[in-house]
Amino acid sequence: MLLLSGDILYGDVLIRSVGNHELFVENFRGIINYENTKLVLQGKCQIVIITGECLTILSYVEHMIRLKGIIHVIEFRS
Amino acid sequence: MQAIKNIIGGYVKVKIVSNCPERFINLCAKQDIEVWDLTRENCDYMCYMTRKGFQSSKQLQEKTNTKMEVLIKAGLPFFLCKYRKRKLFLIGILLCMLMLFGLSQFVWEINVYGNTSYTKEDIIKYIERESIKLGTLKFTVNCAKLEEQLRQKYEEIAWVSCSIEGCRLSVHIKETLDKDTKNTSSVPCDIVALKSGTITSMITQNGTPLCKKGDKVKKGQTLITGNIYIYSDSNEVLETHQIIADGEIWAKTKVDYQCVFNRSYYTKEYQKKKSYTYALICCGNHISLMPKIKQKEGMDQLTEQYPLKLGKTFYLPLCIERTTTRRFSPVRKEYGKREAYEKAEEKIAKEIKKLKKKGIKVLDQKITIKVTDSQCRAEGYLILEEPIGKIRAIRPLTKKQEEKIKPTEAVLW
Repeated sequence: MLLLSGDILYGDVLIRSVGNHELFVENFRGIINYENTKLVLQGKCQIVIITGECLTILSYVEHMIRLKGIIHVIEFRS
Repeated sequence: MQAIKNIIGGYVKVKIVSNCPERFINLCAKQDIEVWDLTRENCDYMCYMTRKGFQSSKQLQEKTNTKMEVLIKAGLPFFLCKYRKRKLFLIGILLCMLMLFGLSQFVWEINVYGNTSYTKEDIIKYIERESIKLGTLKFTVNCAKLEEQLRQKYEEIAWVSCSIEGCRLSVHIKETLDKDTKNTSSVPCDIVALKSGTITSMITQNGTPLCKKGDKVKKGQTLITGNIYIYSDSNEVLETHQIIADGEIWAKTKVDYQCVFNRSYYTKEYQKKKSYTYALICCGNHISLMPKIKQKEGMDQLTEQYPLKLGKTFYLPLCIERTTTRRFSPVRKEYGKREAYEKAEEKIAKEIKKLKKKGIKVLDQKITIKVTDSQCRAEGYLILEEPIGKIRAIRPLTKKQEEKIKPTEAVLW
């Protein structure tokens, strides 16, 4: 059996965090909503909600977003 | 790197006014239109885009019914567009660039490194007098020729390397040839004796050795030759090759030491007050910025020159000169007998330290110090062990030297 990670097999969202002040999100479809305190991303099979303060999108290219600010909660909804 | 790219290509800060700005941003990302520093202020989205990205997003603006308001335009294309009517400004920039390019083609500074027995000023004066004056075109400078000239003029120089870095001519000197010194001669050369002495160790890396350990050599004698002879079976020379000779030769040398000084001497008692004058030197012309103070008796003047440069190596033909003037009154003093003796010992120790710093081993010393009523005299000699190899342009071998390297006939039993 191949031990492949979820982002390859099921298209899961890949999140990498630097402390609570920077976040890299990959493998998502697009932005649903963006506010200073909340960012909602559409994944392949779930929605990712990131809440925090002073959220700024440092860069946004296809399937990759770099977020800066004070991150409080990362929530997944089906 | 990305920031430089953006400055060259130009970028804009825009306000996105739309019913669904997220859709517009998603479409931009899908079409590889770069968006960065996206923030939300009240109901509006602010972000940065490249100039090209902004132009190619016009179709998407129509598609998503989005209006974009440009807040800031930055970067080279916008700067050039803003000043497109200022022709003189553009000509000025071009002239400035042309002048910088033109001036960078000359030598504006000569620097000497690694000198101990010769002064930097002396070497620079010789270079300026003989071949390269300040303001000489860089491509006319022949570094190999200059190296040879310096080796011939200054006998103590064992190794010299000249190179041009920016607008500066750098001369690196070694006064003894050791294993750490790279042999950078680009043409075939010999290694000759810098001083007379007895060889204590000899390592030949390249070339044919003409002497061995224990041999007494004279100053200027060839120690390793760059000539390589290939002999036939009948001991006749078939071919000759010339290579860059390289090796490390140490020899035992004897150096005379003499130091005489008067017991009575004068010292300067300086006044606290210093006065400064400034001047500008442009292409050798002296322009005083302040009235110059004439040097008189009882006055010391120290002149410092600060060449103006752009970056590390781009020297401009401008120099700021600062002259510090200090007044003093001479006070006569005299060394006591013990004090004079100690002073002489101190001078000997200083000399030995200087030699050791140069990597020379002091094997023995025989110096006598005599203190008379008026003078103190230290005389004697030092036995040293030092590297004596020096590079010299290749010379053909003498018959005696040829005999030395000729192979002996094999005896068949």
